[in-house]
Amino acid sequence: MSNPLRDRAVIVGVGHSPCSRDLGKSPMRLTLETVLEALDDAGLKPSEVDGVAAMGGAPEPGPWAMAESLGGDGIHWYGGALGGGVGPSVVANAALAVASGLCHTAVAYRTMMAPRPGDSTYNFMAREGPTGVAAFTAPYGLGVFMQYFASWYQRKRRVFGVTDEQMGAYVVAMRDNASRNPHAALNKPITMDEYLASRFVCEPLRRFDCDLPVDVCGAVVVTTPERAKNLKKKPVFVGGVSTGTGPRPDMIFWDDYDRSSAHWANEIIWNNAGLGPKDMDFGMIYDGFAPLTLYNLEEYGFVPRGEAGRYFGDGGHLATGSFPLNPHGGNNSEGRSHAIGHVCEAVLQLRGEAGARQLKKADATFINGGAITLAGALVLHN
Amino acid sequence: MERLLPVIDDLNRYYWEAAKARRLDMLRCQDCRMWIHPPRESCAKCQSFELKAETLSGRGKVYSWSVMRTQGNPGFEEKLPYAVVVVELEEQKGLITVGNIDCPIEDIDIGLPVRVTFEKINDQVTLPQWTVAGGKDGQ
Ligand SMILES: [Zn+2]
Repeated sequence: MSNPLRDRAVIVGVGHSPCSRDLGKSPMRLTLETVLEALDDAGLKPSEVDGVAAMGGAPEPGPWAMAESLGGDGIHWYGGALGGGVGPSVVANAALAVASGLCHTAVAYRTMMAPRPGDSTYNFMAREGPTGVAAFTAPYGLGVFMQYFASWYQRKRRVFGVTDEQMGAYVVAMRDNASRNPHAALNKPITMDEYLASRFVCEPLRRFDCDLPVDVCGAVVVTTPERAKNLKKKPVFVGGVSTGTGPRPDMIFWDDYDRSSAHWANEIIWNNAGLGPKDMDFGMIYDGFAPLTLYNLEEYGFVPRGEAGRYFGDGGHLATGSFPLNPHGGNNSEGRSHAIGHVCEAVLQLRGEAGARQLKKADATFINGGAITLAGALVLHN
Repeated sequence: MERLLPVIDDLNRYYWEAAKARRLDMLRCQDCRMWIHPPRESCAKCQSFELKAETLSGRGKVYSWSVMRTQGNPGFEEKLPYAVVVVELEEQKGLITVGNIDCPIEDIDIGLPVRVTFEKINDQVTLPQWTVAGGKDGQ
């Protein structure tokens, strides 16, 4: 069954700020500057935008603040993310809006700010006392997000025999990739020994497995293939989008740790795109925690179940490997952007504009976002 | 800082009352017999609202675990490193609960048989916890 929205939206502009612990800009200024960069890249005026996709919520400015800042005559469509993939999923939602005629030119962005002193971090526990699911976790000292993920990773390691060296091979490669990415926060190469010496923050999760919170914004401009004909840059087609989650959407009480929500997004994405995993030249795989790549690679069909560790051990993920991953260094080394950095890099690679990181063959790619309970996927191609 | 204790409400009161009486109770669908935890209003399988607390055997196996080595959980500042075990209860595949365990961290592994114990915190709250089954008291 052909998807009527397939290839009916294109990405024509991209903007991407540096990733840094403190860019010295307000979230609004950082976001607007990045959106303007994306519009300039496309050759569009701000007033030509009639759609905005962003999740909003402090500190990220939402669609209303953006619509007000662009100086146009109102907008036809605004929305958040399409399900749970965050960065890729705001782009997916904009693509659906354009493809279905709700608007003709949309900006989609994700802004993250590194926590400042006194900010709360990823912590599920209300200070006034845990309610709901947290009532059954917080009293046991289980209230920080990385603990949830560490429990999943531990099982993955024991059931499928994933080794420290295999995960290290991924992280070492990301630091190396990031050394060719001027936007990256962690751009100094590391050795396997340095990875193995990296302290456990929550065993089996190491410090170097976790992405670094940074100030960052990534933005893209989405329009119709017809309008793209008169614009500056070669359009990148949105072949398909998907999202999904499992039947027990709480990470710790999830009933099968060997199956992440990517399983449900995978059931949709390839049919929508009319392409398969083997058609992808490279992967932009979400890695907010580096071991998330294991689930994503397996669920979306890039490697057989239980084989992702071996794929890293064999160097499959390297620029010269069987299926290169995240040439920008991933969120792991570029910085925590909820995978909007993956989207920006995908566009640059597909346009042949990735400079020292440019892959030899880059005509189709798969991007995903979301951690375990959340999933969103995007197929882009030339 | 003090350990965070559960806010007891109408939905979860059965659980904490049972724990005070040294029982592990969870909601069970009275129509299709599915166990439900954490509590919710309706059965995830058959949409029945007829959920009632029933008592479990208190036996299960370690499904996974993590060892926390970073601050962030109130009341656990002095306890680092400590393990949190994820336990799959014997009554139903995928019926998951969590807790701390009283064995050395090195002894924890997937499939380790465990049974519930009870840690009284105060007059309102007793926490179900976990110990290795077949331990020194022969159980
Ligand atoms: Zn039922």
